[in-house]
Amino acid sequence: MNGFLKKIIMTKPWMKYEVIWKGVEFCMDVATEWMNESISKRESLKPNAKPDEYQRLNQDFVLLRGKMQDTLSDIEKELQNGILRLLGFYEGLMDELNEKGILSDVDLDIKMSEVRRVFESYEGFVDNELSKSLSFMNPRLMDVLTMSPGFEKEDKMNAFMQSAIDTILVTMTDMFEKDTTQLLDLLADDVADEIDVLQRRADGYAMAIDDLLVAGESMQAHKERMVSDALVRLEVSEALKSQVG
Amino acid sequence: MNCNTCEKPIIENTLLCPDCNTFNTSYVFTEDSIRIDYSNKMKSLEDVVNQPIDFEDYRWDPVVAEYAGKIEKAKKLLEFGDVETFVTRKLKSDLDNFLDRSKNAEFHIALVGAIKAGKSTLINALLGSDLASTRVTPETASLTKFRKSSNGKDYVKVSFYSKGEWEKLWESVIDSKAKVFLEEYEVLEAEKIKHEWLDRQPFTQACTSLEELKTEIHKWTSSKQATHYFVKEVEVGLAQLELPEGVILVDTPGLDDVVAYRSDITRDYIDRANAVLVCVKSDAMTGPEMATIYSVFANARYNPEKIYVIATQLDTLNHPVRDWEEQRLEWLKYLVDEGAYGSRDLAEKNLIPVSGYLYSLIKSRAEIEENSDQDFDFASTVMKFRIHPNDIEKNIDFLNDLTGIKTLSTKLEKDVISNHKALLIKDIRENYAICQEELLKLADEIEKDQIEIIELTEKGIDEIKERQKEQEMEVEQLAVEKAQLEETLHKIETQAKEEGRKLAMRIRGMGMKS
Repeated sequence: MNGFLKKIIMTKPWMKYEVIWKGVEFCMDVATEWMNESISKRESLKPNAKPDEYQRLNQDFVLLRGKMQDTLSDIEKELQNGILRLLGFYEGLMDELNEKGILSDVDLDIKMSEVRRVFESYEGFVDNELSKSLSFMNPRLMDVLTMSPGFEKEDKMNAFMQSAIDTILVTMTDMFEKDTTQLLDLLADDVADEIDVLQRRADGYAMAIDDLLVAGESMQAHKERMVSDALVRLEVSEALKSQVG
Repeated sequence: MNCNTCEKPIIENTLLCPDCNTFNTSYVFTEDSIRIDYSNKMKSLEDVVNQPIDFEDYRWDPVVAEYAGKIEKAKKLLEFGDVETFVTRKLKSDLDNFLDRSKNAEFHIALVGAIKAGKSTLINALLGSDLASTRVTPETASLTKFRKSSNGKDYVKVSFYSKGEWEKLWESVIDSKAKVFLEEYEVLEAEKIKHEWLDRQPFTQACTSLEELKTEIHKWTSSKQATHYFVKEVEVGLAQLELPEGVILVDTPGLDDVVAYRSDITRDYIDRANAVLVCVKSDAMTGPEMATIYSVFANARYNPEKIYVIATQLDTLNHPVRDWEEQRLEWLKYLVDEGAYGSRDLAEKNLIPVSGYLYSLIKSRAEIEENSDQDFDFASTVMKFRIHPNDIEKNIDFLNDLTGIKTLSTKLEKDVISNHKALLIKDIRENYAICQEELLKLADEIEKDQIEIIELTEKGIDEIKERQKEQEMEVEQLAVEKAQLEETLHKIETQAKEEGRKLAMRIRGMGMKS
């Protein structure tokens, strides 16, 4: 166990965050350029504007999302890589636990599918959230769109985009933080849970031995009691197998 | 006598066959009390095995009913012979989660639309009941859910905001400078009754008539009542409902609520719902309506298939069939965009014209009195569809088709509910496979330990003593390993939290610079 413990403690599955910062800076550059060209110079959106006007704006939103897409997917990938590293780390840890007989192959598969599910939830997350921010029902965006063109509109739009991207990344980071903690908590609980059962089973067997040794003259009756209990449990085991097997 | 398994000769009343090591089933216990106790336990176990399991909650699909029945039975088996010792907390929770997942599948259909967009009439047509009158649904600030009642009785269930939720909502009111909201809140003196409703347990009122139902819904949703501010959700359970089993129709307060907290609830619902019906008046598409439609698509970015644009009040067009054909082409021009359906085929498939009003008139035509207002309305409406009032019965199928309600219901049933059901069943199958493997692993462990115990009883005293020493060492080793693992996992958890915190701080720090 010692080598195995040392390996776990020394392993740091954490990601390199620099890629994210570069991505965020690039996103902001793209967004600012787009806003200055496409939104800030645009006439204010009137409450009774024609569908064509909304259509043009919506097409602009789609265009902006498209421009940011590559960078956003890099950020997503980086966060996913963080989860992947965690996955690799988990696999190593679980293989060891598996070798020790603490977690079975079945437990291993189940745990891995849980981690993979979390990993998949990051797919398209940033794009999805950005899409929600760049929507006509976002009152902050509508405030900007209804302003007359000029520096103030540019400033407000910049602040809006900055805040939208920040919010998305904070949400995603919180999610990552929560998921990581939750997965580790779950693993810790499951390992403790399995060890508890191993301990209970070992204690039960030890108690059976003790009982036999202290039974003295009534050893035969004692043996029969143990056998009858064991046979009932064997029958439960058989019934379980035929029920779900 | 011979062994039942390998059929080789064994000494009479021996427990284990020396050749194949299986239990001799002809073994007879010499102690009466043990023999009787054993026989009783085996009989009870047999009863559980043979007892049929059929719960109404799982009957929505035969595969689900079969799997859930097996897991229910497995749970009962685990109550026998102290086998609980072998069961982990995780397995217990996996089995419970599986059964929860298998219970009553639900399909949520959210309705979004501006006031007077024909949302209420459409709800009534889909419900087959005149519940959502114009008096009831406008200005509704909470989610109103309509579903089939499970106990065969009509009811209204009201849930309220918690104090924490209310604080967030209030912050949002202040942030969005919702002047009208604040003024009305003051006029209705809502602050004075706030403490009575926040954190209150959900409340269910049984109703015996349609009128009573309407009054009860109105009581909790009308913006003229101070209490409506604190209502989070109203659930209406109906004994008679035309919707397919498991469908929940959700009337949302809309995306344009001045209070961002409340419009966020709608946005979140759009994201989670299995289908979204966006109601827009069929006469002419306006800019703000287009904004609503685009917003719904923005909130369901990866699922445009689940959005249905419903052109309502077809009956208000001068020549519904011809005029709608023109309107349709105009609407499609916007709906094929990347920010909407992104495909002409999908846009054509999911754009559905309806007339909930004509549908309701057709349904209630037997009760319409001659020369009454409704009679004249019916006549003038069908004439718009170029059908003479005297020929209504002859053209009833044609008129029903024109209302679009059956088309919509069929599409929902076919596209949404069937697809979602298939996904749910797939998920349940996968989860069953997990539970199955866990239970088989458990059965193997139980079997292994019991055979060891039976073998132990066959051994002599010296061998047992030897085994005792080994076992003591194993127990000690296990305790040491447990302590080491706990310490390790704790260290890893601390590291993970610290790294996550650092990441969050860096991003937040960046936000503060801007």
